[in-house]
Amino acid sequence: MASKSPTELLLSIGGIAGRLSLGAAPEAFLAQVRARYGAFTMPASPDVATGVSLRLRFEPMAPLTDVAAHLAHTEAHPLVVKATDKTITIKRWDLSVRLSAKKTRGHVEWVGAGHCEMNPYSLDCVLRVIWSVLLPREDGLLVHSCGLRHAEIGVVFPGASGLGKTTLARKAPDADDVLSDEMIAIRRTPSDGGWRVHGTPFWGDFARGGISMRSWPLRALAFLAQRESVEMSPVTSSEAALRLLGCMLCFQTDRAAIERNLALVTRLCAEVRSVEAQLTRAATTAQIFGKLEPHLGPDVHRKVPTLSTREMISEFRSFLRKHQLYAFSPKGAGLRQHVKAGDSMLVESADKNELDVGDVVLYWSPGRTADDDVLRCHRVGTPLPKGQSWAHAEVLGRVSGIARDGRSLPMPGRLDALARLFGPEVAMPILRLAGR
Amino acid sequence: MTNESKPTSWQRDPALPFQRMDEEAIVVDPRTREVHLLNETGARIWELLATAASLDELVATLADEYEGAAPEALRAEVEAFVAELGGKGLLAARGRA
Repeated sequence: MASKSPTELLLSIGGIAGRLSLGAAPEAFLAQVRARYGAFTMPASPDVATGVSLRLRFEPMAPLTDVAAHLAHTEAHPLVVKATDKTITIKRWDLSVRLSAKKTRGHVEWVGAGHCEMNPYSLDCVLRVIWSVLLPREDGLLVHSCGLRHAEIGVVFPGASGLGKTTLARKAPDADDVLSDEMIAIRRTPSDGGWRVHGTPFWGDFARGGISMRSWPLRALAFLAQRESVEMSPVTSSEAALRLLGCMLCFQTDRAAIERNLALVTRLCAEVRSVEAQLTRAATTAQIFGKLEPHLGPDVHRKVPTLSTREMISEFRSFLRKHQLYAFSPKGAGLRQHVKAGDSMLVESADKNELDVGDVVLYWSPGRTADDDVLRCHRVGTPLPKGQSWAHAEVLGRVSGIARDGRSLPMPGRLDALARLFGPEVAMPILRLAGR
Repeated sequence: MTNESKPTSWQRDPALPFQRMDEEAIVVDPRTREVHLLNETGARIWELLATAASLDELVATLADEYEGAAPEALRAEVEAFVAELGGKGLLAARGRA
């Protein structure tokens, strides 16, 4: 079955939000797209300030009848990316995109349209190229690397194909610690000038990317090398910059882009420790991080706050998807009416289609910037606050109770709400069944 | 017949982006997508070649800056380095002797 209306995806990769309006496509393909990028999507609210807004039309894949002709066609139309301060054009045998810079509410948004073949590789190529162009303009870069979270920090292992990025990812004791086995986003934080590593949905043979938008402080660049024993050898900043430039995703050849990338990479390598990670096939992550430890700096286990509420909510969603039930101590005005200071909220994963009237749900309401996002509570069956819509929000879970002073309390008022909604004749039997 | 005369001076290609890092320098050639890492002396020569300079001028400047360097060895190294960069298309030759 094909979708009739456009499917809108609001992504955030490396802290840059992008709105994708996807054209008609079979539901099976769109489901594949949603699954692939799901961890990096947020509710498609029009309020969110995006760095890019793209309408993308899908074209059916041409049947492969003449392999030689197809190969000649692909060779004749390689990937060509041109970017200026006003336009970005991306062309390849299977895709074409054109974006123009527009000043929107005080920031530059790249707006445009294009088409690509209806296959995940073409769509992924469009996204990788767009983010590879936009990130350096925001003090960030995409790097061919395996990224791993270790305790409360991130380590990036850059390396060309065949040097063991996927092998390293497969060694991680918890797959959720893998930020990607193929492409990592690194970005400088404007507030403190530090560098953070972000997972991406761009994966290799590991076949899964990062689990959330959450970023981690970047403590080391560990350039992959296959050797006979596990060793970490420090490399100089300039040597690191040389190697990192070879692993940075960049399709542009214009002077402005190369100067920007060069300045970015030299700064990054001057500020972050670099080593050559000499690994063996049999090396375990315990061995690897044991050798890396002296190069990671202090306090690798010290909790670090998320960079934004958007990251925090995205991470919370990943916890709920993983554990199905999660307890947290809410802060902020959005939840204050239901909890007191010091309370913990118990939340269970719930699909919005299986909610009952009276349920209290926790939902993600995005704001303009990543720090304007809010986690809110809402009682099903009552109207949403003015200006809000379920079309622009995402139900994360159902609040099943509150832990207060060491005791677990049911979420107050859930059944009482039935009485208000349906009247005592219907509601009372339910309340009696519930022992109230 | 081949022209075996040598350039009288060299100048770095002003279109090539480069960045100093500590004492070293990284030069990127967008045409070939090659990245070159120059050591301290190479970075200094790259700096000197912002304006056209002859081999003699380069050697004289470096001899002043690096005390104790044997003049013949220095000249041979500078000549080889400049020829290598020239061969990679990173320098433009000026004039022929």
